[in-house]
Amino acid sequence: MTASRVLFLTSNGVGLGHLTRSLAIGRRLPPDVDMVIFTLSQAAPLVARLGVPVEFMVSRGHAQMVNREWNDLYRHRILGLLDEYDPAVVNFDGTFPYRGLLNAAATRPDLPWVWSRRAMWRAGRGLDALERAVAFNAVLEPGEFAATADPGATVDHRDQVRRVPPITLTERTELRSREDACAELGISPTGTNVLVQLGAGNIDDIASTAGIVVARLLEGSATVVVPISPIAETRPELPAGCHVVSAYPLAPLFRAFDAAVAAAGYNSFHELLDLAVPTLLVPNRETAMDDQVARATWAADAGVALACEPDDPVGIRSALDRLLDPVVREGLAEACGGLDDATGADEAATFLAGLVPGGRR
Amino acid sequence: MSQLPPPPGPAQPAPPHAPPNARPDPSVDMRGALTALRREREWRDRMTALPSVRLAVRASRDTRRARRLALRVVRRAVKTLPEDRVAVVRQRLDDALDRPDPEPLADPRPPAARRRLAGVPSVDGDQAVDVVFLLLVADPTDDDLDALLTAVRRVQRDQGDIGIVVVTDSEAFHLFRRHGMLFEHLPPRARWEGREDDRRRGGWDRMLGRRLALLTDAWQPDAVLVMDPRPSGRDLALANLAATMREHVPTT
Repeated sequence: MTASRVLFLTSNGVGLGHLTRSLAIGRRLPPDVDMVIFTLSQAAPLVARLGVPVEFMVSRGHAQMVNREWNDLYRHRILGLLDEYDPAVVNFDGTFPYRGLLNAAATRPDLPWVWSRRAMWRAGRGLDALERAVAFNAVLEPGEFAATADPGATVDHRDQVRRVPPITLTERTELRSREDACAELGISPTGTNVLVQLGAGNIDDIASTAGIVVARLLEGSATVVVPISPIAETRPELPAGCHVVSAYPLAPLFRAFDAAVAAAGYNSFHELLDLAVPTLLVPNRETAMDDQVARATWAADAGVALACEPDDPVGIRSALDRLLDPVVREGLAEACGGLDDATGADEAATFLAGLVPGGRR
Repeated sequence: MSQLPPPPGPAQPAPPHAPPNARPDPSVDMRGALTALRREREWRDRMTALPSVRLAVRASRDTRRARRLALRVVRRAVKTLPEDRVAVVRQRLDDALDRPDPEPLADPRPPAARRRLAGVPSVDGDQAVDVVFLLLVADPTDDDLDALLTAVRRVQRDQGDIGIVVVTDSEAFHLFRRHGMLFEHLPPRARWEGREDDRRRGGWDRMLGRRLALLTDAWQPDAVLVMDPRPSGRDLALANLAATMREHVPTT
């Protein structure tokens, strides 16, 4: 029997979200369907080190090229990789399908092209992107715990897409024990360990917010763990005493943490809540499309996380005081247990495998 | 965590081999060059006094290039003509070459070379380049790559109007960001070997051939320079790099 293949295309000049979601789906494909990733993310080597075939091309932003030239190159590279890898299905994960991608799809109409795009877009944004859905054979929408609070343009298109539950990379059964996780991170399993994960460090200047958070946690005698993204080009200025780690993926080590302070991006949000980590959400307001404020607000209203504004030092300190209270943390973790299972990656993988010609799935 | 295993579930058997791909293999043209490259490396190992750069310079021989070369030569010659004769000669030259979209007479830059890099700001802010190089460097150490990129930027500053795309399997992406260099990435040999694709399609060297054919088609460079990143002759190699690039820069 011949192995078929899904080619995952992802955007991301500065982040890991689309790449991680593709990885989550790809690793759940059936045994007779392989994956290969073609990404614009500078984090490509991280995924390659996990044993996944990865191809990389510099994003337009990093190349500083004009649109038309870059899109022409992108189309050229996609078509070359279709020859190289001979995939049966192509899946693009990104909020805006590039012109070069659309042209490649038009050149190879023999293949099924799928657009995987999360929802929760900021109100009024992305209408031009949605018009590009016609270039795809199907649209796959990773689910949202906060779907009822979604203010974005994708809501009106829900009946035209294949919706799946939230997609996460790590399953609960993959969590390592607290002792193992702490040993890997080099921290003590006996203290109060708090993960501070406020974004990739590129989109926004998180230095001041991170500084406030870390200072308050250190006052409370917590062990502060700050993951430094390997693709971040700036390091936040952090007070002495922080434990800096660089691990990808980090979620299997979540049992090392008693709590987390995190931005409300899709992957962090769903992974932390699905794995029941008591979390204070500090949404990033500077994203182009992702409505992190709506996501964080919903979580606070639902009682599954705390939330505060990034530019409100008083509110941040107050929320951190609550987070350091063991009773509050216990309540948050218990509330997370009532969320639906984040099994979207399995369903998405089954959906993509079903598009492989020949009915292998 | 060095490996990400599949999620819990039934054991996944290794995928069987795929049948040979029936498409024409673009690596065929490159195979000879790569074989020559390896032989030259082996030979140079024994001749340590030799410079360790510029294993191959592949100049295009197609009609378009010949036309551009003729233009350069003749334009250089017409500079010696009286002012009022220059425009006439150039116009006749353009007519003779049947150029569908004549360049401004005062602009000597060949149109093809500005194709891809036209949108890339050069070091002096110009948006067009005279010469495009693909610079292949395989398996460099981070230090070697850093030194190479430093040298390349220096050449660009000195020469101007040079477009350089580094083709590498290095995973030190941060160095390219630091130096502001454009690059194309190849799967590293160590990651490629052992994959099904490797078994199915003839190894990393053949993949390299196919990929170079693809990139050459995409960028249409004036030359492909193959760098040897080994430290034995690095300083000399970098010095030769600048000289080699200067050979390809038109003097006007």
